[in-house]
Amino acid sequence: MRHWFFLVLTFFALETALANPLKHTEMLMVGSTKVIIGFNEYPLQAERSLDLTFNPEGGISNKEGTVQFIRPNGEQWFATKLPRYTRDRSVWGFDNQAFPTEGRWQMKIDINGIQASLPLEVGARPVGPSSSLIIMLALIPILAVFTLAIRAWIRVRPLRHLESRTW
Amino acid sequence: MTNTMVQNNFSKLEWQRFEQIGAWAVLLGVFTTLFGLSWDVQWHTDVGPDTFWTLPHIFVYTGAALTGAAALTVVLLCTFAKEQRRAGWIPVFGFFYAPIGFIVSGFGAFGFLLFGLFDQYWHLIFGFDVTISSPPHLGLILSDVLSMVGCALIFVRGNKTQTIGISIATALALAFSLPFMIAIFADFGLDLPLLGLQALLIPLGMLFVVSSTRQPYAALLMTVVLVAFRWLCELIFPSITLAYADSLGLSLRDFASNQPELPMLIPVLSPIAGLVVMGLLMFWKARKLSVLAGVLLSGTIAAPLLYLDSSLIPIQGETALLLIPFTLVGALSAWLGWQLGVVARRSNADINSLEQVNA
Repeated sequence: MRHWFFLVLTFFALETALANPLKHTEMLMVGSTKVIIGFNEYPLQAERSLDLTFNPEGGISNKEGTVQFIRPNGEQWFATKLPRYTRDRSVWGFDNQAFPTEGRWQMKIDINGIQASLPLEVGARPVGPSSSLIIMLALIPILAVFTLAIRAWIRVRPLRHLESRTW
Repeated sequence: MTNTMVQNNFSKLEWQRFEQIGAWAVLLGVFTTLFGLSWDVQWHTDVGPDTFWTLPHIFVYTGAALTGAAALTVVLLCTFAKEQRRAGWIPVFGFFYAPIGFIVSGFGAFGFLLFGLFDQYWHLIFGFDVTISSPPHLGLILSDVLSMVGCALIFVRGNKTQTIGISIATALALAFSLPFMIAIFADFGLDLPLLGLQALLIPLGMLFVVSSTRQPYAALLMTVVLVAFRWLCELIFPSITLAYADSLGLSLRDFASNQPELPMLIPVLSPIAGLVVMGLLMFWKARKLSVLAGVLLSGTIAAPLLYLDSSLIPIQGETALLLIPFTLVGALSAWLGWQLGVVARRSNADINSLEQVNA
């Protein structure tokens, strides 16, 4: 029994450990610090999730970093303190993030108070099922609930029923 | 004649026992899926990264498979037991005959597993996005709502409605719908409906169980089970998340709270609202006062009580004004819950009578 448990865990561990290797890196100078930015999906595509890593020269200890993503229309998408990457705690990074729209994004990085910016070209969404079509299909179960309730309501007519007015 | 009656009575007992096992198996499946989904959200938020083969996903899909298998077994056995056919069973595709609760929860589980398969295809194209409101995730969530509605209906049997079963099933449906709908609405930036959801859903659930069982204590029982689910998650999720992450060589993300994010959206003081509604309805019933007034008053009092613990928003200063529309929502949803209870109760009134007896 115990063997089976560990076998199953090992299987899960192996599956989880199959982290996608980096497909592309960019180098950015933040002041005098060289930062290697890694992408495990490249070229970037809208709605396609990827892992992003930030590896500053000399490691991340004694450094504090923040990142800000600016949409192509100039609005901020989100800004956050850089967390350590889940698959490699020696660098900063995000897993499973997807840029929601295509266009020229800006990524602003701040390390120990010094800022630098990197433009990111995000291409079109991958060819796949349309989101609105799938959302319409996804609504079928909840429409079934409402249809069921309305049909039963019309059949029973609860307001005319004695049970509606009695305890 | 006597022989037939004995045979029928005996068979009826057998059938009730068999349906009962099916009912609790569906409920166990629904609970397992809810447990897995609630854990899965915390896993992504606090540890990640995502793959299909995670333990929370195993709970999610095992639960759906159990719900589907139990519902399908009951539907098939009912379909082929023509001599046992009950007046309350409904036909599907002109071939299947079964109690409506099993049919609905079966369709919900089938939809859930289909959207689960589709979700894997989606992940192949778009990667392992961890957005709760991705199109296939919406399909999964709404299919599960269908399963849960079906599960609650299984326990409604006219005058013999099972108070414990329907209270647990309704509580689980709320423990799922409330936090997940809040999360989806938040993703779409719909703030006001998001804030009004607990005033809408909890009084509706409380009065639905009281109306379908005619037992005021069902309101308290339902709210206690609802909060018990939150407590269960708060009690065990942090430790199982850490243990599972550790076994995979992973650790908590930086800035992770290691708290069950979604179950913690269940108002922790709901049983106070349940207790007040129970007391009020018992008093109203004992004095034979107006049902309509009692039901509306229950919702009016229960809705603001649900915001006391500030689990969603701190109700003070200007935001306290929101309690006025929320109270109105609570009164109307209590009324709706009561009427839906009557609808469910009357629709399933003949569930235990043999078809030929009623014909």
